[in-house]
Amino acid sequence: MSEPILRARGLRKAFGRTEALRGVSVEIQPGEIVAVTGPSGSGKSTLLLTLAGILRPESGEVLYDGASLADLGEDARTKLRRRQFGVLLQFGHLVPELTAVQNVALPLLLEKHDRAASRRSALGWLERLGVDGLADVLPGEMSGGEMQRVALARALVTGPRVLFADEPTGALDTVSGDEVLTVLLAEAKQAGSTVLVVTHDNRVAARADREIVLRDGAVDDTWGAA
Amino acid sequence: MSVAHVLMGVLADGPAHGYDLKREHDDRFPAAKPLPYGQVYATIGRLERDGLVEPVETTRDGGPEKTTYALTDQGRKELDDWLAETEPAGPYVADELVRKVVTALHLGADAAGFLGRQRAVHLAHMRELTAQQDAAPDVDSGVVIDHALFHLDADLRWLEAAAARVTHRKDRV
Repeated sequence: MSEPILRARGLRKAFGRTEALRGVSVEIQPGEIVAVTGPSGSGKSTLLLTLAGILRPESGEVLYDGASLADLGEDARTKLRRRQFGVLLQFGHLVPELTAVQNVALPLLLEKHDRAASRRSALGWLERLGVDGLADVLPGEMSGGEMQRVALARALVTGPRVLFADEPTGALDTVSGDEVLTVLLAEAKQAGSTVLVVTHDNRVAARADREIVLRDGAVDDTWGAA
Repeated sequence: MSVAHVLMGVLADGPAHGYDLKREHDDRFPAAKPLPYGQVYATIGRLERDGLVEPVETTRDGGPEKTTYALTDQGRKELDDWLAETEPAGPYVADELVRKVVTALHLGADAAGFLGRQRAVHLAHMRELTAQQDAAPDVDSGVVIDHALFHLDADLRWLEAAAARVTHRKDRV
């Protein structure tokens, strides 16, 4: 087995008196599609955001390609998140004042890419995800499935090595959810990206290579992980 | 599922003999048990007796007799009525999983362990069906696989809820 792309050791994270993560250790191999499942409040989203370097653990560490995220400065961590990681949340969180193509181009513009090239790249991704017809449409005029496709284009536009998705189909009906997920996994597989997807939907978990089950902030190895 | 009505539905497309009926049934419901020939002929016999299908041709090309059946007008009406009618949601029927867990709980056996292992089996089957769904060639197959997937999902949710209750009970003890 190759070196893990992500490795977490003894992660602990609390919000006030609530311990969200109580010593979580996991390893993710490059190219793996991993579902993070478990009951509500079991720490799934906290684990995802901590692995993505968005939340900082109180103790324990996250290693990306063998290097500790904690050892990187804030700038380096931000760059890493923008260049190597893609994030997709349940409700897409598109910027409501920007059109689809502007939303998708945003991560490139933040990285000071050329404006025209960013737009071209964004249009290319919208086309791949079958929503190029919406390029100049504002999020408020899109359906949930369309918004999620645009958000997925935005998460993929930088060519991330790891895609972190938190309940990406949670707000969609079954058929739209299936479509978004099929596109997400097909694109990730083609690019060889690693995918971590938090879900409470068994049908999403069934599409992953492997499942990490969390219960009360800890990994539960006993619970039917297949 | 009423096999008789499914076979009548096949005949609504045009006359067919027993072998065609069996093959078409098995094609339409790949997740169901293949239909035994005996059941096909017994069902057709009953439908003929009730005037819902009728023989239209019997051939014998050197082999055994083959009778082709067609749907009668009365059969078509029965089929349309069946299609329009809803089914009762039905009383709860304990299946093997529930029987096993309840028995394990009564005996003090490892119900939680069983639930976890069973979940792995269910999830593995869900993976297979999901792969089939992705490769489904048409809407019919997609609809049939969805039905199986959602039933599996219901079982999985039950397994999760049951495990949570079993664990909670252990904590309280």
